[in-house]
Amino acid sequence: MASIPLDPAHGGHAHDDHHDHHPTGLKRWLTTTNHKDIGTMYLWFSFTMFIVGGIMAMIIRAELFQPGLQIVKPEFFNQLTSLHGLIMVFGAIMPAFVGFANWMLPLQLGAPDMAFARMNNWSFWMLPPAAILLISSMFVPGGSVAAGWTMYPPLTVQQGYGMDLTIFAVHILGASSIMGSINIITTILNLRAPGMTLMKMPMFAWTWLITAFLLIATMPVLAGAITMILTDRHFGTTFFNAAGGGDPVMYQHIFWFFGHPEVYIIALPAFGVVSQVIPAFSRKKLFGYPSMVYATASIAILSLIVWAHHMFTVGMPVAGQLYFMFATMLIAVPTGVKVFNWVATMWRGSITLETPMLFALGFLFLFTLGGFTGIVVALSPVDVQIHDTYYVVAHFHYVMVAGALFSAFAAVYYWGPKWTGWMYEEKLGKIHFWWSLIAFNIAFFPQHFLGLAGMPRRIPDYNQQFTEWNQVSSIGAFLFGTAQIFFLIIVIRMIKGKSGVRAPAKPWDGAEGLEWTVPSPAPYHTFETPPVVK
Amino acid sequence: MTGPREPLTSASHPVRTQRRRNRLTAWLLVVVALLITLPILYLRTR
Repeated sequence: MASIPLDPAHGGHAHDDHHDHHPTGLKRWLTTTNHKDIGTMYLWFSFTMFIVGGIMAMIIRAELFQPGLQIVKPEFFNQLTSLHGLIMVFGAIMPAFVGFANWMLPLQLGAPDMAFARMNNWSFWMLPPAAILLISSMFVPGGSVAAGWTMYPPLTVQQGYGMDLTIFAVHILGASSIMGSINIITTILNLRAPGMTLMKMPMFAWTWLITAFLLIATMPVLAGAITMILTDRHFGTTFFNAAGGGDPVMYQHIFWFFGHPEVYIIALPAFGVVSQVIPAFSRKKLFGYPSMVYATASIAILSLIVWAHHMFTVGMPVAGQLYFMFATMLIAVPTGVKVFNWVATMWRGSITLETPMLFALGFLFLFTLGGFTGIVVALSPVDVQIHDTYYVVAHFHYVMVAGALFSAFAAVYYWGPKWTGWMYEEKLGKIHFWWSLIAFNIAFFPQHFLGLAGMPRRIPDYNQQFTEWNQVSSIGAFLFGTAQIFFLIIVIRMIKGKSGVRAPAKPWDGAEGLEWTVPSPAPYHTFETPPVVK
Repeated sequence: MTGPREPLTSASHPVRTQRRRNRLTAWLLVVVALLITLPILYLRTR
């Protein structure tokens, strides 16, 4: 991150501390326009959905513990895998990073709040109804979406009205994301403190600026795709029905125009968090800040032109396969720039391994591994063999869990003291890290072997030859799940101040940025008079 | 349009100017979203 020394004459928080008047109880949370309150709500919502999606994952892994059908019926299994994906992507990971953005962007930029504070409240309060719609779709006749989180027709055109509930839920979640993105871009472009030029912004702000552009570019496209499914279902259109001149493969093109950038919508803010944490605990400035910015933008642009690598098996021309294969492999270049910059930041740094840094390092190792298997599946001839196998499941869980989720944990431990005013218990944090790291690898590494051996994804039963690695994987998954209950305990203990150590304004001596110039916990209103950044 | 904001210390216009700038930015972003979405849906479904 670029250096942003403060002008002491405009230090800018002590005189903001005096008016903490706001409604209390439920009314506070329903009516709040405060970015910190809304950030907190986003984070708790995200964790709740993480647990709901996690319980579904546990049932999936319990069913897959043995070959044959034990616990759930196949049609319910399909609903579980579909909802697990939708809930984790739209309900858990995305709201988590929007929560971090709400809490931290105004603090990092020296802004008093988000640009559209009331719309911010609306963006959040659209989420719980959407979540209720999504989950309640399991309880209607015919059940919920069972065609995977990608909602491919023709299955989704044929399903019961649980699918309509799912479509409306995704519409609402998408609308919330678009409003959130507009809010974030406007805040970053218009509300930076005097002197905070774009190239002095913290990397987390940069990654979110680029992510928000990706969101407004692709979310409406998803909305269009699922609206076409809706009209195919109820209003006599045949967009995706070959009998009426439509084409189900067209849905895949439109969906993945959203779906691939979605991967980076999740990954880029995670990169931003890691780009804050690694310099702080290496006690060095981020190596190659401008190249980090350009690499982030390059990844975002490339992510828009590689979508069809998700559908190499639909029978596209060889020229198309070659284009999408090479374009996809090109993404490794800016991603490599980022990984090398993080390593170079640590090089000869004065490194300490507090929990945020451990999670950032875990991210670095495992995300790179997920990126590496990404290159493998990007190879069209290889992908034809392993498409829809557990190899792909392993690949994207290394990217999503070890990438986004580990980074979210790093963010909670890194900024948690700023939010709560208390330090977390370091020993417990370290146990959480090692427990998660080991359990994660037990759960997901064997899935590479299963996929290469030919085990298909989204199937509740399997050939007996796959039994051993499935059992290992399930045990790892249960261990990973329980580690997150432990995480909840750590967070609650931090909020209650069980460590007995009050957080100073800047608990990490290597950390830089305006967020560390306000006291911990951050006052209800901050930077009403903007600080001046030299 | 963009750039670091001015200190909002004087009592008169800055807040209103800021809000206008914010609204303008938001509507521009809506236009950007439509400019990307509509051609893609049109080209893919025609």
